[in-house]
Amino acid sequence: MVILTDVLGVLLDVHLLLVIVASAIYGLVLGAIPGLTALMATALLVPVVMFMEPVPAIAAIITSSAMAIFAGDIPGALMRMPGTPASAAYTDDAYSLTRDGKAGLSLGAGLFSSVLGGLLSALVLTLAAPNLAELALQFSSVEYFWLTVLGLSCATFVGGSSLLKGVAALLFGLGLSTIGMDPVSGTPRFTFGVTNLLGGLGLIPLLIGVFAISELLRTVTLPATGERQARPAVGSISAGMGRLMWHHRFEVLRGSTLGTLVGALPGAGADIAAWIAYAVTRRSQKGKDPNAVEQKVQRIVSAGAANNASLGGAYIPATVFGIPGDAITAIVISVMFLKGLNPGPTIFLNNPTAIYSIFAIFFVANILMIPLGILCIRTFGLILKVPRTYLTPIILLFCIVGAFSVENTLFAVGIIAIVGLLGYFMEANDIPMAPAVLGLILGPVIEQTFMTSMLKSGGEVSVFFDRPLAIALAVATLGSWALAGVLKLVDAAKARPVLT
Amino acid sequence: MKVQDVLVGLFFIVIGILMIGHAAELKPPRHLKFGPGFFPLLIGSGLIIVGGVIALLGLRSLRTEPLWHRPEWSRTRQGWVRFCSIPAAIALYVLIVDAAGFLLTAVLVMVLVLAVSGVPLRRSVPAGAVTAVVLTAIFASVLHVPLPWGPLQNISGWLLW
Repeated sequence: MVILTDVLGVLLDVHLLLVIVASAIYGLVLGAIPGLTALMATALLVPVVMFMEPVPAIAAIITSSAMAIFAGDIPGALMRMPGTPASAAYTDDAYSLTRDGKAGLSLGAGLFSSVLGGLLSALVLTLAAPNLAELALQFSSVEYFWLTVLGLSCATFVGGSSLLKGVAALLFGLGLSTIGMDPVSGTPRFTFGVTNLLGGLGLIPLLIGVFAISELLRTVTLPATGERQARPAVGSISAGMGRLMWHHRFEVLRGSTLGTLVGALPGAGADIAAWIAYAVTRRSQKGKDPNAVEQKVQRIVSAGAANNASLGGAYIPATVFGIPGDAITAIVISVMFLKGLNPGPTIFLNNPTAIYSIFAIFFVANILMIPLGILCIRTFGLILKVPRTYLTPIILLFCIVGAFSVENTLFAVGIIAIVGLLGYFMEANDIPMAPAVLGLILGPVIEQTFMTSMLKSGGEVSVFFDRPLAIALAVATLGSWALAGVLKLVDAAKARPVLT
Repeated sequence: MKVQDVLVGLFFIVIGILMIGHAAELKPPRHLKFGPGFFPLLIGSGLIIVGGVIALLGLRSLRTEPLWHRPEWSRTRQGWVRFCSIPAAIALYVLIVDAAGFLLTAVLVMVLVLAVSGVPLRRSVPAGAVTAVVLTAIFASVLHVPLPWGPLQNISGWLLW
């Protein structure tokens, strides 16, 4: 009860509410501009939130990412250009409804399913996280080691089309994480006498480089889109939506459940969640006309709920274990560490007001999505008027100042260029970025837990299989490797041409 | 630029070899079996193995695939100029910001990137100036980031509050 009143006190703070509204508008605008992703919006926000108190800082990220993911639906439905990859799964369905004069239905279904998906995943987060944290309190360095390896394994297996390239990317990220002082003995590694490298590569400049600069490199090389498209009339967005959501309650529930589960899986984000929910719903429509309005709305509702629900799901491993569920929560975890709000099971004991306030912000942000989302749809024409030519250098300057503001060195600014180029070439060669980034963030955790366990046991590897919890996690980890290998072999066998 | 998987594999092998080479120089502290080189040694070994498998699998399509595939944008000079404008603008910033100050450098960066997109100076300079002033207000005044002022130190009071 005391916590509830404390959380209410935090939520009613005018400063926090202003931060939530401002970051909501920021997220909606960036998400609605095709090519600018929720991830990029988050990466660009980090230098600003670094100067805020912990709770408003995380609130800004939660709100802007949720809004950006929904806003990606708007250009998808109105122009057949998904604003973010998370909306790509159902862009064709949404656009075809718009062409039939049902833009209001298409956007309304996307908006309200996003809100419901976000609220349901927030509920799961609030109920599941504290219970999982109690279990996590029994973890020693051995269990943390296995859990981190399990998280990284999942991130690698679901991260891209090539398993080998995913593993290589993960190892590359882990390798980058070893630059700087060794966490156990303090010996400098791979610093080559450069003082700026003693503290490591600097996570925020790396994230800005990987997610923002590499995206800018892709954007500037894209051909001009040509004439501005006419914006179709939208009509009423909210009329009859309560009835529509009730009618499609199973799709909302299915999308939200899938989204929360996929989000909680390290490495899989909103886009994968949306694709899976879309595919599952499509499969459930066997024997029905896939082009009927009813079926299209079902798919939009399910995938729309899933992509927003994945956000809440991703915060479960992030807050309970300190293991990011996707790239956005990877950024959140780094911000939490930098702000002294260390994620992990002890946060529920040491800082309950802060963590429950963060959970409560999910509810506030998702409810706020209804009026602001409708406003964003109505003013979409204005957002489209922002010329892309001018946006590129402005974002570039934000990246430069952002990297400098966190590290206060020009070395960090140089890093964003190098890492941006590296990210661009990795992406061009189908080497997934998510395992590399998670490897970079979790590298020190794995090394520290591994070395601590080995030192405690005097070098006995059996320490990793001594406790029942450790054995369970080890079996899960090794099982996930075996499963990934078997699935790969099955895929290869299916792809092999049949000899007649 | 997409390269053949043999080259991708070789890239990871080289990184792995370099890691192992450096890790071998890191000696463990006294009385400890595992030192700062142990973890990089494991990662380096993993990179060599995985890189090796990627390269080996890439060999199967070496005859049918070119060693590298140039993206569409790289076929024109304009494409290269656009691509290089981003790292060049960052390099320009790093090189001159201490001497020229943030305001002037930010305008130059904006003008450079906009010029590549064909925006005339009469538009790019005012756009750069407005962006530079807004960024200064946000980062220097509100967030107290120590942005350098260069020759404009005397007018810093106008924008700091």
